[in-house]
Amino acid sequence: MNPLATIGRAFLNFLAAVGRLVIFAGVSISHCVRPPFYPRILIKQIIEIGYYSLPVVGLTTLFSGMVLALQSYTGFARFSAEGAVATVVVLSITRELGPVLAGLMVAGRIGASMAAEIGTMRVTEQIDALTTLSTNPYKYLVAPRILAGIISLPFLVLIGDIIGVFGGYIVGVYKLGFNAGTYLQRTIEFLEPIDVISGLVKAAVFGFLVALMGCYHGYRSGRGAQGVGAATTNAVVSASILILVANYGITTLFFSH
Amino acid sequence: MNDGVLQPKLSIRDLNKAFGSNHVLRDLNLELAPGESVVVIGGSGTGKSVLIKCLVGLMEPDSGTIALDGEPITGLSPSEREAKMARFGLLFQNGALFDSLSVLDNVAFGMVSAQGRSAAEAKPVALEKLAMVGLDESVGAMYPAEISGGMRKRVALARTIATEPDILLFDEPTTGLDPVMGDVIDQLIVKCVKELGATALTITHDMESAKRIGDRIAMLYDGRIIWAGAAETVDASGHDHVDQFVHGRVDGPIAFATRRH
Repeated sequence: MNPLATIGRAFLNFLAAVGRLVIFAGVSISHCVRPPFYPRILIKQIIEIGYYSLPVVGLTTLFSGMVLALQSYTGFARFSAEGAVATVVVLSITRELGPVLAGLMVAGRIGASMAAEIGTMRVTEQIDALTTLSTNPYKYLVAPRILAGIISLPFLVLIGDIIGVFGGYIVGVYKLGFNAGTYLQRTIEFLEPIDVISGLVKAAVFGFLVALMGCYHGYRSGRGAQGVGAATTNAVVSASILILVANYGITTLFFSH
Repeated sequence: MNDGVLQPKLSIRDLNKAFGSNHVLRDLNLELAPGESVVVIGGSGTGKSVLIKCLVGLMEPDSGTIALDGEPITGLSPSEREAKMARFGLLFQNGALFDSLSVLDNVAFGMVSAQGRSAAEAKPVALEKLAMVGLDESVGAMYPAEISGGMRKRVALARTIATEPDILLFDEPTTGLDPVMGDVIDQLIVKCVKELGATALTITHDMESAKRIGDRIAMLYDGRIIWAGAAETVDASGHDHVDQFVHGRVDGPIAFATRRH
């Protein structure tokens, strides 16, 4: 077998997959802004993504904030900069860890669930049934999930930010012996609106990516349990990778100057 | 009426559909008169499901035309196609009920989503359709996972007829059911088709079911309709392929396909 042909074929397959995804995203977005809308399904999805993901996102950011305070303290103590712990914690959480950890957690929880649900609907002909009942599956299944992802993640991240900073505060005040007032003052002192806003923009983009990949892989699921299983795995893996890539891109846009 | 000849309700002309080198439908021709019930029989993998998917727009044929009341429904824009699809009702082989909705919401789905009726308006009609298929109000609150296969088929039938379509399509309606329940479903199909005055196309490989449901039976083989005749003549068609299929003989001219499309 010619290795160049193999590489070429793989590259063409990759381009075809990207093309399919871009078309799917374009059609989905167009249905997000055109009636009819399904508000009941949108609210159900917002509850599913936002409300039910709160415990897992809250725990993740809480312990991340605690670890961050501990690690930065032991690191900064080497050059007597312990006072920067509160600032490092709040900037790291709001700019990076809050949105990325929430995005990854939601990718695991919601991306997988969306892919499995829509994949099962594909395999059991429920999506075909929607079409025969004059209901556009993009409008009924995909658009509400994508909108719910974009709406829910920023709220989830905002709450995660508060919990993460609180985690740092607990460790800073009760374990490392910082004065509570001073710690809070240092937390607020160097925090700028752009730090929080950039995190929320990231959250909205990550919400879009998680929902898009969940719906895309579910919609294109292969036959049988194996097909649905593969769709679920692909949804989580691709959403996680895209979150990390998009994170770099958005960080560059906001802070490269 | 057209030149004194009754215009077919559904007309399929020179329909072709291939998947790569696998030519599933080859210049298939079939006409259904208004109010007629036609059953297409054929072995597994002969393209029966592909035919139905082409009819309801789930697959686009490579060539040929499908006309409803003389107006082509192939090659239309998605919105035009969606409007035409409202005149079709399809009973899926496995029901394809929506897992996340109750039985009542499943039956009301087409009325609410496609016809724009309110849930309150659709509910009594949905209950009426459930009663038509022999299910009472208590089943309406249950979910598809909580009911038996036979009940799921009845609910799917109620959903199919709820929007009162002109054309009813039945994909293997008795597959997976015991003979008694199969007979029940067949009788319900005949009753619903008659009460709605609809034109029906059923695909099946269950000969007993075909004879009960159909006014006319057509056999699909090698992508074409190779024989068509009144349902009562199928046992003595005099056609080698039909005889082999009807009597379930291994030996004969039919070479059964082994791949699914």
